[in-house]
Amino acid sequence: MVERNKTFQIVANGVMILLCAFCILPLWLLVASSITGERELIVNGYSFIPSSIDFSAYKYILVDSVQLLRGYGLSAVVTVIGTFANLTMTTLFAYPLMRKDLPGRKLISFFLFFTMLFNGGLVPSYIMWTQVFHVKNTLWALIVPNLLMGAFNVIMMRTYLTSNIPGEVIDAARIDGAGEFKILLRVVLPMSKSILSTLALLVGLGYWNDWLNGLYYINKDTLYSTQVLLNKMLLDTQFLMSSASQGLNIDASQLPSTGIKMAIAVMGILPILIVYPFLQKYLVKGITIGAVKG
Amino acid sequence: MKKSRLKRYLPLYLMLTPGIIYLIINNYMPMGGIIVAFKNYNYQKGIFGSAWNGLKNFIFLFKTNDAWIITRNTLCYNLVFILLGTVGAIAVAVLLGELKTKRGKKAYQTVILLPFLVSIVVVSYIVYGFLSTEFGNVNHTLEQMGKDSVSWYSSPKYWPFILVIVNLWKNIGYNTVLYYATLIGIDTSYYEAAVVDGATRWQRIRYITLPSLLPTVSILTLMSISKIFYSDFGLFYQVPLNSGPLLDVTNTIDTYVYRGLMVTSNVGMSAAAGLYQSVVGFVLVLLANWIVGRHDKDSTLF
Amino acid sequence: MKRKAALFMALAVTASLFTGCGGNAKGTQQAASDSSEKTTSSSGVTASSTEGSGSGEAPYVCKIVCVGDASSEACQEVAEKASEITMEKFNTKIDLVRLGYGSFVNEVNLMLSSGEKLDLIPSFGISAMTAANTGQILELTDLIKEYGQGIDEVVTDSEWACVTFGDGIYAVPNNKEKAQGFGVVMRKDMLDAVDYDLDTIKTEADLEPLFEKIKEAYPDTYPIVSDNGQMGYHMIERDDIGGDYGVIMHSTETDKTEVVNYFATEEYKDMAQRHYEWAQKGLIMPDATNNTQNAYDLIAAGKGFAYYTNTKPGIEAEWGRKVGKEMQVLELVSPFRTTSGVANQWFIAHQSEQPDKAMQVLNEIYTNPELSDLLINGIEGEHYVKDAAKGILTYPDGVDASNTTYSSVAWVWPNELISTPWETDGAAIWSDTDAFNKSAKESIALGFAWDNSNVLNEVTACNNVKAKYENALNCGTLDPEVTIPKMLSELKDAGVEEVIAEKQKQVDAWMQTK
Repeated sequence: MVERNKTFQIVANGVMILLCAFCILPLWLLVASSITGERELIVNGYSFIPSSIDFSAYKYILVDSVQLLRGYGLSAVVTVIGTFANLTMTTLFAYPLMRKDLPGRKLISFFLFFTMLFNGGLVPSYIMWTQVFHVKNTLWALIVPNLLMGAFNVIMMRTYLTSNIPGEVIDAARIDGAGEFKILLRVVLPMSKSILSTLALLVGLGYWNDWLNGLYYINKDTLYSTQVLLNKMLLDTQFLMSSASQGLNIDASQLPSTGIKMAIAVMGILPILIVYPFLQKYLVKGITIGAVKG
Repeated sequence: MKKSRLKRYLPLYLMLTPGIIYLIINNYMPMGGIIVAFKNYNYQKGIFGSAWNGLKNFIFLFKTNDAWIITRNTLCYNLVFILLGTVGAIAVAVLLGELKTKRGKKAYQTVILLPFLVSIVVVSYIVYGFLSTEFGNVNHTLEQMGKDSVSWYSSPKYWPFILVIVNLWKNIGYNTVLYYATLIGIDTSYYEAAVVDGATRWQRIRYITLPSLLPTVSILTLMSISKIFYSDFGLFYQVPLNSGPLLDVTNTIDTYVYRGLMVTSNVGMSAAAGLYQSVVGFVLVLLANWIVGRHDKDSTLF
Repeated sequence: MKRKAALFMALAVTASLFTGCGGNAKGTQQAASDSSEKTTSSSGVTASSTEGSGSGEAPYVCKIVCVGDASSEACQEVAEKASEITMEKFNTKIDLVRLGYGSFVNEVNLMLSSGEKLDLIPSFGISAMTAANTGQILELTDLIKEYGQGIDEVVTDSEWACVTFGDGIYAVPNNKEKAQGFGVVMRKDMLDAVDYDLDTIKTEADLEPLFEKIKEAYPDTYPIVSDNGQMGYHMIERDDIGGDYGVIMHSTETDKTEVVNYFATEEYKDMAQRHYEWAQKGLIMPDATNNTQNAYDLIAAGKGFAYYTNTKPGIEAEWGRKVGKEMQVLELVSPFRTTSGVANQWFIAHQSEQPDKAMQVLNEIYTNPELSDLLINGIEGEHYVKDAAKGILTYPDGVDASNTTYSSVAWVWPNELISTPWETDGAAIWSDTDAFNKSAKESIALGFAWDNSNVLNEVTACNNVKAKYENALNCGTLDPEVTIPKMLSELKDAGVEEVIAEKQKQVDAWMQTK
């Protein structure tokens, strides 16, 4: 039995390592081509091991390093505030929906889900947020529109709560005289650490990676987050490469090369790579406290 | 009776209030914009002031022989994505759950989530790095092995597989994380009891883990079904480099709409396409939700 | 039940919101957008200014949104300096925002639909015809008469015709090169090495012996490459009369205005056939249609020898800069003028509160070299230094195209011909451009403005067919014998004949009035 378990562990680890290789090899090609010179890329093609190393792509991006640093700071602030606000809203919405006795539960669930299907498009949202709430060129623009609460996350959380927290636990707490807010805080939250940490990760990534809000609601460069900065570069390149720009006299030196595009992607992921393991430590701690197992 | 009921549920409704307000502002009020699909939109007259246009904005969707190709592609790819994505992610999540090394678990989880962080435009550059006829890594390797290089971007027969692999690569980490969260939330006492009863690993997975995942599977699948008429624009447009010869296997509703409206950028027509996609998804999800509800009330969306 | 009531109320609020925002072009609802602007404006506008009161005392703020990379700070500086000029003349301040190339169209469309503060915009990627049809921009006929005399002196009648939709003028054409020729651009060093007599080359077909020679001398080089998978310039003179489908072939030599399907012409078939054969022979890079590299990178790296190009004054130098090697351009189709040649224009947004002031500002930009220089090139000493003797600009020490905070994209602005040229273009560039415009032949349909609103569905469906085949045919990847008939039949199913018939009808009607 022990022997078999050992074999299983080895095989299972082997499978996971293969899967990881499958995930990471393409990314390595990305990194490798970001440090290969443009001419070399054309002559020798894409290779996992660049024959000479050229950091000029990174130099290009870091020309305005003040702006990029400010972008990172802004992204971090937005991600932290946004994730916290989102999780609060999501939990507050998901908990009542797990209560099967709540009158109108089905209707509210439908009300929630309906927003996943239908939307009025960008224009009405833009009018709403800029003309009524005046978020344009403010920090709010990066936090509030679209990202503050999503049906997907609420439904995920509700499903988790319904299948992992028995109704009897809540009934028991209520009989003990606890109010709903107290039940949520003292009973439900401690039991949903695993879903909360997972959602925190996904929401956090959502905020970190978001650039559409920045694109539409910000045109002041002191308020550009990292992803807005990087994606603007990519977007401009895309445009300049498209047929629409044929024959336009745009200085070629403004056009990021392949290496720069790759480097841009690396710069977007890098902070997550650095921060995530630390973050995950706390997240996983939450998970293991929530459900200790062998 | 009524009063006490209200008092009892009032705190719950109070909790729902911020979310409901947000949904009304962020989602429902802009939904008025949907009627643009039936209008000849004029910027000076606004959404409600513009003249009605009947169903004229919808015609272009069904105008060509491609109408059925794009519908077929959108549906089939999505079905395959849902199926493979779900099976793959569950398998990986279960495997992760069975692992002993804590460090390993962490590392694996991080690594498989990485592709999800790369924007699809960049994914298209990576794919090009592999498949470019002239500069690509794959063709270089093929040549070194003495084989003929392949003109990937002109050979439609490979693309169904390439697209499925790219989609799997990009999204498996995300789905795994979702399932894994549910999996570690399973009450450990079930497992302990099973071990005492002498259940094998496979039996534990078969009778405890998988059934516990079922509600999550059902919900995630239902949500995917509601989006079945949508496609990841980047995956079908950027990744195949908008290559004409591949269009029979890469053209979906979204890319069709984009190609058609790129130059004219007609607000009404793009709204019409979006509405068409939403309505079909809505009908399908109502149906699927009803079917699921007949078997298990807890696993429905609403 | 209560919830339903709330939902209806929300919808009612939405309704009033939308009619309020889009309802009136320049009237009552501006209060809302004004107050939002005051808090968000990034320009040199002082917050104390009371906008749009029309009292004559308070200065008007003219908001210009243009394309190109620039920092908010630099825009503010430029706007402040520009305001000094316009304040004195028209009691108007300038607010300037510049948006990236990739997002410009999207962002401007949003601004136009939200009705927020906006006065002057360039046409960059926005079709004047569509914008006029959908009410995004104002009719300018009377404004030009009253406040745009300076513009009217430069713009000719046939150019005004190009931007006339229905009865009114909707755009101000930029003063820049307005014609284009086609040719082939080649690497000078390779060309010299094979020592070929270029005088023998009159048409595209004549290039073949030269390409063969290049191939022989440089086996690793493809004589002709594609640019990001495109080979868009065909050595065939035709007028696409406003775009979409239907062209007039040999438009400068013919006196007939027969609109034909370009893809069905002998000329197009010959070209596709030739490219297909060249691709088979290895004269065109393999899989040219899926190449994601720029032509100039390929040529610079020695992978390519030549590419097709448009021709205009300074084009050789422009290519030389892009490639980093000396290039030679051989013109195969001499310059000609069509309606599409005046595709760069300026508009006044429909929500402009005082279009008369906006037109005054536009006229000033068009005619005042000082203001033009400021808006095009930025602040002297910071973004450029001027060599007054030679009449050219260079970058200050430590500044170059990649790190300047105010990038110079002269042709987007209304009148680049009155600005100071850059050293790289040479002092004579604008006089050459003027001569080029005057010497170019005119298409018979110059001035015809195409309106596709009756056949939008057909055009949209045809665009998808075109996407499937056009690039691959241009690059010689697909066999035209098989592909062109297939493409034509699919285009027919998609309704190309209706589009061409509609265009013919409009052209005929236009010829009557000419």
